[in-house]
This record gives sequence, C-alpha cells and structure tokens, in this order.
Amino acid sequence: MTEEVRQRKRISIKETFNKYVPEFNEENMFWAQVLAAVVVGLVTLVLLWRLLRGTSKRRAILLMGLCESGKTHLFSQLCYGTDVTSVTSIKESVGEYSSGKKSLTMYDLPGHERIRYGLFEKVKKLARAIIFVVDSATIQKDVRDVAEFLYSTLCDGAVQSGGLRVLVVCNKQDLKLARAAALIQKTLEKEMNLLRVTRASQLQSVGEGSNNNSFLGRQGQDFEFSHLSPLKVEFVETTAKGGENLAPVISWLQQMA
Amino acid sequence: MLDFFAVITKGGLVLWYFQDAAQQLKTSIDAINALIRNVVLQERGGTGLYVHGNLALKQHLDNEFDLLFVAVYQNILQLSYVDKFLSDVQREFRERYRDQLKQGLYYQSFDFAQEYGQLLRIAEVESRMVKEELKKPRSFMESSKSKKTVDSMIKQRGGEQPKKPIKKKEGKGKKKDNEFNNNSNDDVELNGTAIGIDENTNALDEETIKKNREKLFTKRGTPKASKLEKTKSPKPKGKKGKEATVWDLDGRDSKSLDFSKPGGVGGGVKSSLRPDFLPNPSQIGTLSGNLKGMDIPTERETTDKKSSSGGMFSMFRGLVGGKTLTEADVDPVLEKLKDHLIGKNVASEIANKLCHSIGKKLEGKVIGTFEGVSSTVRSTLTEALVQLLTPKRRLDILRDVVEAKSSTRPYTMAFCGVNGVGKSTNLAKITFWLIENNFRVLIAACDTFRAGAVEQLRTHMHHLNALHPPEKHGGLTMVELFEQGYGKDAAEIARHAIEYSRKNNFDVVLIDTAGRMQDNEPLMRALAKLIMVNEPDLTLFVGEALVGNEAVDQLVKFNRALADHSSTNTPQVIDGILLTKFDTIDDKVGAAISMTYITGQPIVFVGTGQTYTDLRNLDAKAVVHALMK
Repeated sequence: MTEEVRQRKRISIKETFNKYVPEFNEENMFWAQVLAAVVVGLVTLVLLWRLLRGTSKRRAILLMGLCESGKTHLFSQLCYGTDVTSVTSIKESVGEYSSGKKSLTMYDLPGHERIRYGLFEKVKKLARAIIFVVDSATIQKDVRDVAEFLYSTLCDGAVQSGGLRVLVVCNKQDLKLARAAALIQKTLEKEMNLLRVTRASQLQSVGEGSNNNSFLGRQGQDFEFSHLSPLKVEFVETTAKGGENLAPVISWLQQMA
Repeated sequence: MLDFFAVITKGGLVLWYFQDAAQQLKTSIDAINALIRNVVLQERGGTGLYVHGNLALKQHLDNEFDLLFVAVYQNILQLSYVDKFLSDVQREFRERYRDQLKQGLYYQSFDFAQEYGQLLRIAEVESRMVKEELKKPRSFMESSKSKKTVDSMIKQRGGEQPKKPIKKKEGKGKKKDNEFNNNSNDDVELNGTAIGIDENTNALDEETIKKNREKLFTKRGTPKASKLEKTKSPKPKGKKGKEATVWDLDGRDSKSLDFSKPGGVGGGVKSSLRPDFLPNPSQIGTLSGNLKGMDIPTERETTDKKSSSGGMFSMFRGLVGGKTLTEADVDPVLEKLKDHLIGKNVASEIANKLCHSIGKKLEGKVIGTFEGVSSTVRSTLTEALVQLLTPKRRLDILRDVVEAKSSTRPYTMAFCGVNGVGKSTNLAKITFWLIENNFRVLIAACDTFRAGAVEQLRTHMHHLNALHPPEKHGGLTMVELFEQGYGKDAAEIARHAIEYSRKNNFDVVLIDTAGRMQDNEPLMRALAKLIMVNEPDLTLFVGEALVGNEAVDQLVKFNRALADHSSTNTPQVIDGILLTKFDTIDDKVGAAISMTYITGQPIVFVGTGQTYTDLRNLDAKAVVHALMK
C-alpha cells in the first residue's frame, strides 16, 4: 500500500513541478522522491506513537463494590455534583472527573454478582486506581461477600501488575449503625485472612483455565492490607448523600490525576 | 391507577419518576431492584409481568438509548393498558429528549410530568372504552337489533316468516358491523342522534338481507319446487336474482350436483359458487380497513426510523453505517442459534425463552458498519450465557463451613435427585474433598429404600478412612456413617444424625436421600419434610449432564414440591446444583444452561469421572465456549 502511495505522490509532485518549474532534471527528481518517502515515514511513525501512547496510558478510575453500596450515587456526586435516585445498574456508566487541568475517566461498574466480573474484565486494562465502595451500615452482615469481592479484585493479574492504588470508601456514614473505617479495615483483614486459606483449597475448575486463587499477603503472618506491597490500599469515611463529606475522596482523586 | 412509573438508564440512574401519593418511594425502588435482579439480569426479559409482594411490575427496554421504562401497580388491579402505555411513553420520551439522550446528558431535570399525565389519561380512557364495549350489555333502546325486527315485521307482510332465521344466520357479520358503528357513534356523540342513523341502517339492512338471502339460495342450489317458488318471490322486488339462477334448468339438476366428474357442467357450477368463496365487494372494504389497523405498528417503526435520521449527529452516524436492528433482522439469526443450542442439548423450552429474551435485548440497538447482524447476536448470546452461568451469590462452601464451625454447629448439605444420577457417588467425592481440607464429615444414610444403599455408603466410608487414616489427623476418624437400617423415616434419621454430629464434633453432615421420580407424590412429600425439618445449609439438586428436555420437568417439580409441601412462609427450595457425568457428554453441555436457567441457582460442583478426585468447579467461560462452538 505504501508503494502505491509513493507512486501516487511521485506522479503528483512531478505534475505540479512540471507546471510551475518547467526545467526539471533527473537529479531534482531523485531528491523529491527521497523527501516524499521521508515525509510518509515520519507521518506513519507519529501516528503509531500516538496510538500506542493513547492506549497504554491508564487514566480510568473504577468504582466497584456490592449492590446498594452507593456507587452510582458517589459517581454522580463526583462527576456531576448532584444527588440522584438510583436502582441496580445493568451497565457501566462513564463520566469525566476534572480537577484543575487534568481529568480522569470514571467508570461506575455494576455490583451484581452476575455481571460485575464481565465488565471489570473489559476496563481493567485502563484502570489507574480503584475506588471500592462499602456500605458501612451493613458491613457486619455482608463482610464475607465484601471480602470475597475485594479479594478477587486484588488477586486479579491486571491489578497486581499495574500496582494500582485502591481506596476503600466506607460510605453511608450518616446512618446510625455505620462503623468507622478503622473497624471496617480490621474486620476485612480478619475475614481475608480466613478467605485466602479457603480460596487456596478451592476445587479445580472444569476448563483448562487456571484458577484465580493467588495467595495475598505474607506467608506465616496474619493478613494485613499494608502487606500488599505493589498495591496501596487506603480507607476513608464518606457520606455520598448530600455530597458534604466527600473531601477525603476528592483529595485522593487529586493525587491520582 | 399506576402507583409508580420510572424512566431509568441502564447505568442505574432514575431519570424521571412519577409517584402516587399513597406509595412510598423506597418500596417502589426496592421492587424495581428486585425486578432488575430477577428478570433483566437472569435473561427472563420476554415474560412480561413480574410480581413482587403485592406489586406488579412491567418493564420495557429501549436498547437504542439504553433506557428502561418500568410501571409499578397493585397486583390486584390487572391493568390491561400497561403494555401499550409503556411503549407510548417510550416513544414520547425518546421523541422529546432525543438529543440529550444521544449525548448522554442524563444529569439534568427531565420534566415529563405533563406528557405523562396526558398519555396516562388517554390510555385510561381507551381502556375504559374497551372494557365497556366488552362488558356492558346494550340497553334495549340502544340495540338496533330489536328495532330492526319490529320494523321488518311492520314493513314486510306475511310469508316472510321463514326468512327470519336465514336473515339471522347470514346477516350476522354485516349486522354486527353496523351495530358496532352505531355504538361507537353513540358513545362519542349524543344518544339522541342515534335514531336517525338507525333508519339508515334499517334500509341498508333490508338490502343486505335480501342479498344474503339470495346468496344462501344460490349456494344451496336445490331444485326443489318449494324453494324455487321462494326464490321467485323476491324477484319482483327488483334484484338481480336472475343471473344467479341461470344454471338452475330442468333436467340438469342432478348433473350439476354431481361433482364426481371433472369438467362438463362443473365449470358453470364453479362460477356460480364463486361469490360464496370470495368475499363480496362490501366485505373487501371492511377487511382492508381491519388490515390497516393491524399495520399501525410497522408504520410507526418506519416513521421512527425516519425521525431518527434527523438531527446532526445521526448524519454522521449515517455516514459511518449505524444500522438499527429490528425484529426482522434478528429473528432468522436467532432461529439458527436456537437450533444450535437445542443441538447442544439445551432444553427446547429454555432455548426458546433465551432467544426471545435476546431478541428483546437487541431490538432497536444500533450497530456499526463493521459489525454483522449475526456476529452481534452471537456475541450478545455468548455474553448472556456467561452471565447466566456466573453464580449470583458467593460460592465458598469451605468458608461457610468455617463459619458454621465457629458457631458450634455442623454445616449440613442435603442431596436430592432422581434415581441413578449419582447422588451417593458424588457425595463420596465431596466427602473426600472436605476431608482433604481437614473437616470431619458425617454421612447420614437417609436412603432407607433401595437395597444396598447403606452398604454402598459404608464401603465408601471404609475407603475414605483408609485413604485418610486417623493417625494422620490426630487420632480422629475423619468420616463416619450414621445409619438406622432400612424402612425408617428419612427425616428422623437426618435429625438424629445432626444431633449426633453436634455431640461428636463433626464439621459437616452430608445427607444422602433416596432417588425419586419427580412425579412420585408421596416420596416428594417425604423429601419436603426432610428439608423442612432439618433445614440444611445447602440443598443440592443432583442432575446428570446427559439430561435434555427432562431437566426442566425434574427441576420445576422438585422445586415446586419443596415449596408446596412446606408449612413455612419462606420455604427452602433447591439452592445449588451438582452436575454429574460431565465427562460423558463431550461438548453437549446444554444441561448446565437448562438447569441454571430454571432455578436461577448456581452449579456448585461438577462430577467428571469415577474416582474420588473427579470433582470440579464450573468454569462458565469454558462451558459457554463449548456450547457456542
């Protein structure tokens, strides 16, 4: 194809030159060809470079968590600054979060078990960081589900290799039964300590695909989030409703941008 | 009458909602959440009504703009107009907010209350009109029928009596039409005008009656003298009866009636019979009118398309390709895929429902130039199947056993299924897996029916104990059998087994039940009792992967039996599936789809062979890959 392009270019240059510069000798012709080739090559290089750079740059923040933990609400607050009524999501929503000059792409992923991993697979390559939303009021009841989801997310190859930053947002702090972030962290650590043992002795699956059951943390020590060295997990408290208590999340996002 | 109506994006955002004063927002939102989780995310989209508590919900997907329209109302109301109303609102909403929706500007106020109110009023009035037409018997004054008979009796003199029954028979269709027109006129206008119209219709009716009468005679074509006389009598009234009776000549009657010979006079007979087989001119007119009414939906679709090609963005979309999928595009592909699924051993009923739901999901979706219709449908189906096989809850039995252990009670699992699917064999495999993970297991032999069932389990126990001798586990026997011989009540044995395990520090109790056919009422009752009394943490249905259409019947009946024979309000039904003989089916893995679709429950284990280690987890992607191959 490039040959063709060059051919065409040669002809067109020749014609234009003939039009404006009637005396056109062999030597000039040769240099014109070289010039055209160099230009075409440079353009291709620039295009390729931009294309590669565009995909390799991770600029997405993923909002994850169980159903009804307040992901969509937090998403609307961060991107649009409004309170919304929301129901269970079927699809991801995408929005821009801009702080100052820089902007981040926010992905609000559905929390339902059936679809959460499917959509995560699609966007995990783009992720720069993950916001994991937890319902502070029901954490006691749902701790096993929350821990399992967080564990599989942290185990994921793309998350591990990217060394992503993870912010666990303890949402719904306005509720009476809400627990503090420190307590939630402790509960989750305890649960994940158990979970990594049971996960390791899970049955093989039917297909050839390897099980996603890597061991997190340090062998011989109780699980702690600080042991996940390339990953950095932080905990903050917020109330997405009303949007008054979002400062810790916003400051964290500004670090990310 | 609608309690709640909401326009929702697929991203979970409620764009606009209407709320009846009596209803709380939270209950409606909860109901909608349940609808999304149990219907939309389970590929049950084609079924229509969903009942949540005492609320009924109907949803309508708009795939072009990724919207979901939901109507919530009291279940007892049985509103008939909801479907039409949903699509009306959808059209209106799209029409109004086309540009915003196209650009994804969801965060603004959608003031739709006025249009909604209008549409609802129209829908309600229409439904009321339809209802009245259907239900209310006409009053005597309204019915033109009574007047007609009186009129005809006055105008037409004696000798007309025998025609009455004929008139009734033949003129029925015509009369109904006229009456219908009358009534609709009456409904719209004042009743006073009805009389004038009635006169017209009477005149009309007389003509049609005559026509019909003639038609009847020509059809009968009897040469009997009495009938001939009667046919003559209307002649002087100035009708074209002559032509119809041309064939009716003396001496040829019998031949003309003889249909056994081809040709001959047959031609003449045919031509005279034709008016009866073909609708007469007036009927043609009415038929075409009806068809027009039926055509409305297709017409609307085309106008939708036209209007969608307005606007600046769609111009570019037109350049790039962008094809809106319609039912007609998708159907042939779906039909092929359905056959493919059935070929892979998916129960035909399930394949049908799945394809229907996929069709609904794709209707109105816009695809790019480089995507073919069939590849789009295929990928959507693949995605949906993976979604279906992905468990909808956490499946970590080991973790749950630990949890049960910490609250000092055994974790119980019950196995049920039809005969010979491999309940005991797979129970032994699961026992092995649990022992490997250092849990002590008690097997409760509740199959007190089949000869040798207890002995079979005892043999397994000996083998497993030999593989994991007590010395390795601190002197504790890892597996024990709890049995009380044959012929006893299974529920009692299971109860005793659980008690025994509590005393003797067992971690897991596995309850083996007798195999039973799903139609065997007394046995199903016994199973329901066992489940109800012992409340196992996990009730596994054991089904073989070889099963085809039968899977539907088995699972539905097992589930129903457990629900029906239970005395509690929230009966415990099957909450997991064990798929056995998976190694025997090659790539015909359809049973996995059938079973998960019916119950909505995950496949917890897969049995893949004869030895203790042949127990696996299900890999949704691998199964779907084998299925779509």
